[in-house]
Amino acid sequence: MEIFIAQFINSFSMGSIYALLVIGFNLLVLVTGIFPYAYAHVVVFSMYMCWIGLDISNNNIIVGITFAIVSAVALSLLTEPLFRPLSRRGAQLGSFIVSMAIGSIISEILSRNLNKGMGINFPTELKGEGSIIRFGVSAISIGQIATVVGSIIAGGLFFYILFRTKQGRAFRAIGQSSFNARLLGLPIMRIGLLVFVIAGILGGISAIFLSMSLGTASASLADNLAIKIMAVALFSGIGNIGGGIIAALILGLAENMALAYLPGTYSQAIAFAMIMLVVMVKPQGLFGTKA
Amino acid sequence: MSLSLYYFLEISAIFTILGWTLYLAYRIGQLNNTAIATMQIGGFISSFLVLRYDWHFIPALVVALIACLVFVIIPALALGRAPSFTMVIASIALIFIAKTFFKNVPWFGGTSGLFGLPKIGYLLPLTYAFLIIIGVGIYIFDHSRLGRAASIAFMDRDIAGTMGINFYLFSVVMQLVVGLMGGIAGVFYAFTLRTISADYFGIGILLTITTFVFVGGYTTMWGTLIFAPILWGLPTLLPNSMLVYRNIIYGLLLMFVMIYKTEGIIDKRLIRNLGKKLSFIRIKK
Repeated sequence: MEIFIAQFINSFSMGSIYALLVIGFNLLVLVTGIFPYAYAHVVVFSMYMCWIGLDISNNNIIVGITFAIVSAVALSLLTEPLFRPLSRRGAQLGSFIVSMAIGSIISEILSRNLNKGMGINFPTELKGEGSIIRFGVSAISIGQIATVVGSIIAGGLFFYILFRTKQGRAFRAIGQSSFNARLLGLPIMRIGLLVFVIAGILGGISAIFLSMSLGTASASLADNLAIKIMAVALFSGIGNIGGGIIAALILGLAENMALAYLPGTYSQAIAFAMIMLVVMVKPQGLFGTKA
Repeated sequence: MSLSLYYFLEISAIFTILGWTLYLAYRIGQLNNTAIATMQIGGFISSFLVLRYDWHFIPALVVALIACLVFVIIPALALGRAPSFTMVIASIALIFIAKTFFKNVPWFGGTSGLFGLPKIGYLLPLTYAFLIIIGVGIYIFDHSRLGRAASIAFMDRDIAGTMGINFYLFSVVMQLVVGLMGGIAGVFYAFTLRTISADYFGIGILLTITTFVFVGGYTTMWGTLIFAPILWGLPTLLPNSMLVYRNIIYGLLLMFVMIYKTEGIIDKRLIRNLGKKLSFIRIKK
């Protein structure tokens, strides 16, 4: 029972990170019409930048967080011009291939040029492991609480922007029909840039929470994360932002329960099993695709 | 023959076969990467049979191919009508499912894989025999009614349906063929390297064959045939310090071609123009 409770807490923490990642992913799919396979690679890159920020500032968390968010936004904006011609043409598969190429380049840079190609470890102060709330045999670290609360706040802010602001209305309009949005005079290119900035910010925040939860990062983490994001997106329905959050929590729960009760490497197959299950039963996703 | 030339010829042929799996699948508009999953299955099953039970290479090859077909049939039936992104993601998932399986089952060497495979003296001619058979098969397919049906299905599935083309059946059969070709490539790959590990198969190899197909040109089979050896062989001419950046070179090439020359370097127009210039060579149909 204690294992179940402990894993349930872990799953909520990881699930909330996946939810943030899927929000950014689906936002890009919905508004720009591209398939950002490399979104996970941008997140892992900003984890490395966070680590560099911590290293040069003697573990100043504010500097680390700033490095993570700024690098995620910068890398997002750097890749935007590459997707613009594909987005204009409606070449979704083409955008997936370009994104795969970008992801591969980022992985190669991470595995060869940063930290001499070795993985990175984050300081325990960032993980918040020193401060633990115990109840019975289970324990919750401050890092996990910060992850869940931070994800809820970031997600809440995003939904506020999406449903209560003019910009959010513009995102939804373009997501429904970019042709009609252009006819109505919406500045598609400027909104596209804004979407990349927001996705970058969400990616940077996810990177910080991942650093807190995992405590380590390596180049191979990017490909694993990319598969998980795609699994969640496919499971819920590609472009379905609300459904993505629920699917992310389901993946977090399934993964951590599998980690507790199955041999370690089999838990990695949970995301793949989810994909095959939804493909066979409901190819449009549980909540329907919006893209 | 020098060892480096042998490896270059073998790996070029294997990657050409793999590239053709992507080309064939994309002929009907589905980006299907199942061939890499069946490449693992073919490689591991044949290696296991030869090493553990001392089987001869040819029967091991046949059994490996049957295993690939069995693996592919259920996903093929499920993915027949799948939207394009579902196909992409599901086929990548199959690669990682196969990888997780082979890494965890001790029969197949676990994380280290299988090694010490025997040298097959006739492997190179056999590889090229399969390459020629597959190439001729694809050429006949491209120039047949099936090839024209595939072109219509690529443009619009609904129009293909109204013209009487059963897209679901087409897709299932294509996936089985692609799975079989992947298995063939896997068997030859394992016995060329004389070792096999699940770590060989992942996003890296996916990027490599995607580069060969889309840079070479996805509208004809000649793009893959010409560019697989070029793109595989050219980086080996670079200094060792540059060779490690092979994946970055592939990534940059792929991005450039997808943005500025979507159909790849060798497209149908180039083939047609070449055909006109060489029209003094008459080929009877």
